Parts: sequence; C-alpha cells; structure tokens
Amino acid sequence: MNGIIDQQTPSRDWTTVPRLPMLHENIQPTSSAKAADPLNDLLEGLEHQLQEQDREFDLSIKTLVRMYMFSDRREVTAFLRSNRTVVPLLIEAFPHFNRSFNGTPLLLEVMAEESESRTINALAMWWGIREEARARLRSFDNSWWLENVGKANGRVVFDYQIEK
Amino acid sequence: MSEIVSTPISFFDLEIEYEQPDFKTSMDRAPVVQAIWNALRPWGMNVDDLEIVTTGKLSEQGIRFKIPLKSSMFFWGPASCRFVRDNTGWDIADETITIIDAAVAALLSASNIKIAKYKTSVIIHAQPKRLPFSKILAPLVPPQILAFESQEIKTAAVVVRWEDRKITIDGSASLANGLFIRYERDFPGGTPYQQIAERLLADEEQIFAMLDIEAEQ
Repeated sequence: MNGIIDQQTPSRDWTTVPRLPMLHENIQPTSSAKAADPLNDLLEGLEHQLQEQDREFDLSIKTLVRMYMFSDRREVTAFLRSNRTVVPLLIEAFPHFNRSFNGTPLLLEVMAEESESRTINALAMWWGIREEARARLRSFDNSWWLENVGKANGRVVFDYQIEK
Repeated sequence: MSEIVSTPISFFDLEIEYEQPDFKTSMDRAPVVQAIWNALRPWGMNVDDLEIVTTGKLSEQGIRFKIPLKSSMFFWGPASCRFVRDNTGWDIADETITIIDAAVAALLSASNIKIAKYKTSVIIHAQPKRLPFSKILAPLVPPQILAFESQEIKTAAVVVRWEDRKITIDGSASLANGLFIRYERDFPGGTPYQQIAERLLADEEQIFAMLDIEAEQ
C-alpha cells in the first residue's frame, strides 16, 4: 500500500441496492412445488455458487491490482479468469517477491503465444544493474519460490525486467 | 519527455450548498422526487435505483438517485445536494454536465432552493507506464527533508489548501505503483457548468505539467 493520506475510494457499489428480507419471506416457503423439484434446487445452487465464485474472483482482482501493475488490464484479467488457481498464488507470492526486489514496481504480463496464452509473467521492474537483479531473483527462488513452484502448474514465471 | 500514465480509477464529486436549508420541501418530498425522477429517467433509472437515506445527521439524510448505467449518483438533502460520477474522464464531460443540469434544474424548479456554492473534487489514480511512482513524487519533497537520509524515498504526500482550492498528491492505496491526485475547487452559485469544467481541466493540466506526466490517449 502506498497511500498515506486522504480517503481515496468512493466505496460505492453500482450493481446492488441493499434490500432487507420482508418478514413473510423468512417464515413462509415461497413455493412448495419449486422446493420439491430437485433439479431446480440443483440449478439454483449451482448458479448461487457461480455468483459467489465471481464475487470472490472480483475481490481477488482488486487485491492484485494493488500489488501488481497489469501490462494490459483486459488481457491479464482474462488470463486470470481462465486460470483461477494462479490468483491466490500471485497474492501469496507478493510479499516475498516484493521484499526480494526492495519494493520495486511489479508487473503482470501475459506471454504472447500463437494459440491460447499458457503462462503469465510476474516481472520486477528493475532500474539497477543486471547482476543485482539476478542475485535478488535467486534469493526469491531460494527463500520462497522453489518450495511453492508446484502450485503454479507451469502457468507462472517470476522474473525481472531491466528498465532504463 | 513526460511520463505517460494510465488512469484506471477516477471519479468526480460535486456538492451544491444551498443558501439556506429547505425544510419545507424536505417535509413534502413527493413533488421533488417526481421532478428529479422524470429528469433522470432518460439515463435508464428504475424505481429500485431510488434509496431513502434515514440514517446519520439530518444534513446526511435525503433521497439518493442511482444511475448505474452512468456510474453516477445524485443525492438530494435538506441543506445540500450532491452528484458523483465514477470512471469519469474529459471525453464524457459534456454528458456529465447534461446529467447534472437535468437533476439540478428539476430540483430548483420544484423547490425554493437557491444555490450558494459549488464544491468540486476530481480524484484520479494514475499509473505510470515506465517510472516508479516514487520518482514522480520525489521532486515534491522539500530538500531539507530529502537530506535526512541518503537512501531514496519510498513514498511521499503533499496537501496544499487555499481559500477556495485544495490539492492532494499521494501514492495510491488502490493501485500498484500508482499516484493519487485529488484536486478540489469551490465556485460561487450561478457559475455556469461549462465554466466550472474548463477551470477544472486547466487545474488538471497544471498539476500534470508540474508532475511531468501525461495521460495516455
């Protein structure tokens, strides 16, 4: 987090208008025929589960946006949506990667491939000399990444990018 | 060459203070609500987008009209009204003015309210393409403070207030490697909206030039 002062967000949600349930909604079953239909129940349950997952995903993206820069917001978000297991890994990796590179900005970039993109690069933007960046990456590998590399399923590459 | 920045998060906030609180209209709200509703309907509002705010201090209570299609909200209270738009930008300034004008004109026509002051804020979270945000903030730190340590600064913030203007520049709490820029200015009642917009655009250009940044096209 970089912000020191001021309330920086509007904290408005345009999608939902809060509504408390009426008393009768809590007490009376809405439709006995509907309740007895197991297929309907199953579909409703699945839909509810998907909505819940979407909400969680949106929250995770908000968290990631505070940690990493997105080279292309739409492309990176689309990749993460198709590879959801990568999101918690990137969140978990952040403090270690950030510390290893002394708080330098971190960038997420989807690797350009002919077919569907299969990997995402998490890059430390480095303004110093290459040797130091290399040593810092090695330190990150040894302190955290090698123990957790299995969680990535080959979808994430941590690296540095020399900036001039 | 100026640093190019993207502005993934931005919002505009306008608070309109009345010359005096209008309790009479607040007691019989239906005609005003109907007038504002009619004025804002072209932007796709439906009846569930209205909210009656009954919590907080009296000045915070009133009716909130949400316009989700335009990420906007108009609030009518007894002592002031307020318009907020998220994801704003100069390319949609004319549309924003049209929405404000419609809501405020409806309010004024259905009440005895007279406008004393417009209080405006523009909030921008900007993300540099190439530089760390701390490099952009560093020139704002007085040399006396910079001299405290030999290492580079991690972040910094500046707040400056004048009689009718305020500027806040900080690191963003919502965006990695982001800048937070908030500029505020008050205008007397009766100032045309177009004039307000032009003044705010000039303020933004002045701040961007001072920070040596340029918005991505």
